[in-house]
Amino acid sequence: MATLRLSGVRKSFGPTQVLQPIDLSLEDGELLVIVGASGCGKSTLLRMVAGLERPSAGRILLDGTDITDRDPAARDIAMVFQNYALYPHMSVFDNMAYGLRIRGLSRTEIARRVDETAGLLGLQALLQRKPRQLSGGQRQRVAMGRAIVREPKLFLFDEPLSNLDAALRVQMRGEIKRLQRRLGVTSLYVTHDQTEAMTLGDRLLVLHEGRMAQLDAPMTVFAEPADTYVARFIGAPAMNLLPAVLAGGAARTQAGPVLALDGAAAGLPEGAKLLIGVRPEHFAPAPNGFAGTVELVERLGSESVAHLRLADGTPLAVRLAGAAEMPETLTVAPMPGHLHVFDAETGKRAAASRRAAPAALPLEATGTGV
Amino acid sequence: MERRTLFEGWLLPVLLVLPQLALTGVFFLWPAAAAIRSSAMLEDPFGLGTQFVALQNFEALFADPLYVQTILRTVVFCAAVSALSMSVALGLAVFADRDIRGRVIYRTLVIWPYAVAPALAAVLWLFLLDPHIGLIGRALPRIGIAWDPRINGGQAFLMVVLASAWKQVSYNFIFFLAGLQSVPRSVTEAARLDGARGWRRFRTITFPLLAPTTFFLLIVNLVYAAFDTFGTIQALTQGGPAKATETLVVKVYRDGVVNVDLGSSAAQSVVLMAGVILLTALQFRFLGRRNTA
Amino acid sequence: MKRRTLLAAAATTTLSGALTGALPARARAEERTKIVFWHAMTAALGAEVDRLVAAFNASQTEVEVTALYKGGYADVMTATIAAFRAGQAPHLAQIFEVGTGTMLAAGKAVKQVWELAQETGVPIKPESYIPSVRGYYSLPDGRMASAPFNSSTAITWINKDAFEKAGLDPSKPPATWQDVVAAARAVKEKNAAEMPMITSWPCWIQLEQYSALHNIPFATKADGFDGLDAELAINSKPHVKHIQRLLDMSKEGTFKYAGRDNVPDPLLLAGKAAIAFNSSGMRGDLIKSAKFAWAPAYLPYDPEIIASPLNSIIGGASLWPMTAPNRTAAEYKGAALFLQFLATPENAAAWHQHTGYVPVTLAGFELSEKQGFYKANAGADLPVRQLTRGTVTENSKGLRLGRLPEIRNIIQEEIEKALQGQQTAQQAMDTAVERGNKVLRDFQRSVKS
Repeated sequence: MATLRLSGVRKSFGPTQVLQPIDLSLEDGELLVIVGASGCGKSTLLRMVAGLERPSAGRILLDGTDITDRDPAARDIAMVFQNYALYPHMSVFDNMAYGLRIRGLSRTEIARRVDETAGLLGLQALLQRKPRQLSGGQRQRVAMGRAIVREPKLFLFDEPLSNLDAALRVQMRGEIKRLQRRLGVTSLYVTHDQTEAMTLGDRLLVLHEGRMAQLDAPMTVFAEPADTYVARFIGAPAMNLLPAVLAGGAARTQAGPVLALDGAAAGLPEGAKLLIGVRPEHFAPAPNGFAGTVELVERLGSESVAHLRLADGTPLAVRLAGAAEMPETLTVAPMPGHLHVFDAETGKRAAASRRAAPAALPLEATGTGV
Repeated sequence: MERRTLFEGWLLPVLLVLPQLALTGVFFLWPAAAAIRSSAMLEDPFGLGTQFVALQNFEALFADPLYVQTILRTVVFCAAVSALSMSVALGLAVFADRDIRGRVIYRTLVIWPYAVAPALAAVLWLFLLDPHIGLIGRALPRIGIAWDPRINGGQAFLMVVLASAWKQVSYNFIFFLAGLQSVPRSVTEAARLDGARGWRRFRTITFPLLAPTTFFLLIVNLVYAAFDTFGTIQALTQGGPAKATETLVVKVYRDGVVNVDLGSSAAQSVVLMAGVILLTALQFRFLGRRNTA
Repeated sequence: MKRRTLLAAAATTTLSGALTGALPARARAEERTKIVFWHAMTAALGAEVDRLVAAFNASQTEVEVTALYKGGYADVMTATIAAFRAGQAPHLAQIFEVGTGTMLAAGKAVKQVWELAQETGVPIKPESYIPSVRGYYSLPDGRMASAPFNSSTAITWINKDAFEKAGLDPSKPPATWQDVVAAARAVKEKNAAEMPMITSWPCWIQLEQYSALHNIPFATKADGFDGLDAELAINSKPHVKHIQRLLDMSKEGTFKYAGRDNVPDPLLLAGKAAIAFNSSGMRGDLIKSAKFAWAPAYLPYDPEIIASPLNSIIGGASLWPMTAPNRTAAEYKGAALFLQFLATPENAAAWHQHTGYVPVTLAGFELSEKQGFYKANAGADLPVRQLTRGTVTENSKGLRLGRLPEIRNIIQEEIEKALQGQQTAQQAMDTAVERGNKVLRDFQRSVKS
């Protein structure tokens, strides 16, 4: 159990910069989830911490000790791989005992620890099996067990659930969370799955094209996405982004309706191009507002998602309760207090838009296409 | 999904399988049957008088202490060639598997010897090791090693083992390299994180995972050493000095082709055949077990 | 071109069964009797064979000989045996001298030359061949079994440069083994050559030739001529004495054992040895590639065993007429005519002069002399003179032993073991006799079956 600090860690392959300098620190026992689309550099970051890749620059400190140049074997870090990477020629017991044997633990100590860990994970009955005799979920558990039994300073998870089917994924997600809490081991968890990211992490690091897009508590990331990328990446269906222009403190959307911003765009010059973010669930049918043609309706049972197209061509997703019949056209308005204001030039959240902007009722309907 | 083509009637399938069956029959079964038949016969070379002698040819063979010695020598030879060529190839493959500069050139160079004909390979080795004209052969006495494989049986044996093993290194290298590359990278990485370094990681993880490749190569190498080294040995030592480098094939060739002692050479061929069948059965069994597991 | 031939051949093969009866009479009338001749001669020797065949085909219109290179000596013999068993034997096969025993036991597979001459009326006269040559291929009563073709004998090759460097007179090569030992010591002392003495074909030269020269039997039953129940006799005192001499020389560094059969040849050609025992047939290669002064000399003898040495024996190969089912009288006659053609003085002389083999007929030797060949090529007649000196005895006729290649091999193995110091000369020869006799008994058993 330890703290982890990354300072200015950067990676490039030849001329290609895959990771911008990363500064990060994890508290003892913290679980940080790194999330991002594939190719964002999240696995590279994890592998650098593991020692499987060398950073091009920067230092990695584990519990205050610089381990940047240390062989992975000497880092006291355990990792759970996406494909589990079990040793196929060894029994479950030997898989788990391997690292302990290398550390020269006594036979009885090894047996004790493996038994204990197997108990924790419900693997007692499987100890003599070979990996190929196990189901996907069982393999996943063994991979976890192999990491846990070592009692390392740091856990690394590299998309450990992506090879499991949906139901198992939910179950294992809970189990990982429970174990991590119980053992209190500092952990880095890489995933591309936003649900995993939201549910598991104490904090969330969103990586975008090798850059730290946002580092915050999951709910903060959801409620106050730092830029349009994060805004659209977290939450499903993705947040709607409506092009608009700042006019007299309000946003004149390209689609027509003008939205009051209540100072959320403070600091931006008059006439600045904006993107107004509204999550699909923050729309409600209204007499005035954004009118669009219903192109597609996804009925999910307890709710429905309607995909509209506004007169100016902007697509709009709206989440509605129940499975009501949809008319051919629908007019919706954002709920009060749920507007996100982004500078269209930089994609960044407007500085004043700390929480979602307050009142958001359309002031007037000047739309051309209703 | 299994793809299956259904034929109407029986004529077409039979016609399609026939060439393969015919080839097997003409080039494998028929000669094998002829060898077994000859091994039970006493006949003159021209086949003018043939007499059934049952197992007498085999009895004579195994009663001959020199033949038994030749079997033992062949076993030692095969083991030495296989061990040497496989370990060298594995070493080279491990290097080639690393991310090193000039890897492609290095690999190509290692693969070259496989393209060299056995007799030519033997000539190359003669140019190196011949005590009178060889580069190394002439240098050895100068550093105090009395090198003369023409008289020294041990040295002659060493020479044919070296030449035979060298020839096979490329083949083994290709398979080991492919085997190493099919070892999941994450498994070795997991071992690294588990604290295993260098030799220990190779011994406990990489090498066990190469077992199917190693076993396959072991069989191939044993068969190679038993059969395909004839050209090399014939060109280098002709089985001498004394009998130091006479393996079973060398003896079969001499008895069958040079001395036209058909009964005995046929019996020797049957012994060899039995050896290959045994090795192949072992291999099938091993691989079969793996596949059904 | 080639593909067409192949296609034609394929077509012929497929159709011959159906068409044999229907072949147009015209084609048959045009056809000359086809004679197939399998040989083992490569490079310049092969070209000379082709030249002789072409000359024969051009000399008459009845017969057409096709010469086919079938690989080395052992390959030709194996191929011939396989072909005979398939009913497809060539009309003539060139078989090496060590295969003679096997061929003589071949019964009706072979039509021996005397029988061929008798049946076809083509005269092939034994008297015209050099006695020590024909003796090797004749039955005990003098009837010729095969036709001598390419024969050589063993002689001594002297490196004159090395002799001079050692203070020896190259014009007086060592005549006796005692001289050889002394000369080799001188060479070693003066470091005049890398190897004072080497030998190719250890068994043929150091035992078979040695036995003939000293008129001692190599095997009982007149060296096997008188029966299949012959036994090796090479563990006699004179034989063991000679092997001991070689062992001693090897120990003191005056004799370098350089391998079996023809393996040491390159050492002779490179001039590494002062004294080299080898085939007389090396002459051509020496002319072509030797960069030192060399000279041929008679094989040495041991005056303590014989006062004046007998003739040496031959090596090389002879031509055997083979039988096959459906072989016609015309075909046998064609084969006989070709053999007769090869034995004419002109052709025998030309073959001898162009290849370096000894002339197999007396007339060929005399013609060569008349043509001044030996004046122009000093020493080229030495092998013939060595082959023809004295009177041929039953010990100098040659060997008539089955599986001689294996016996040679055994003898070489045992000598090698002795050279390694694993056994004495007497032990080596005793074991060689014991193992060799077993091979002889196996052979006897197989041909009697």
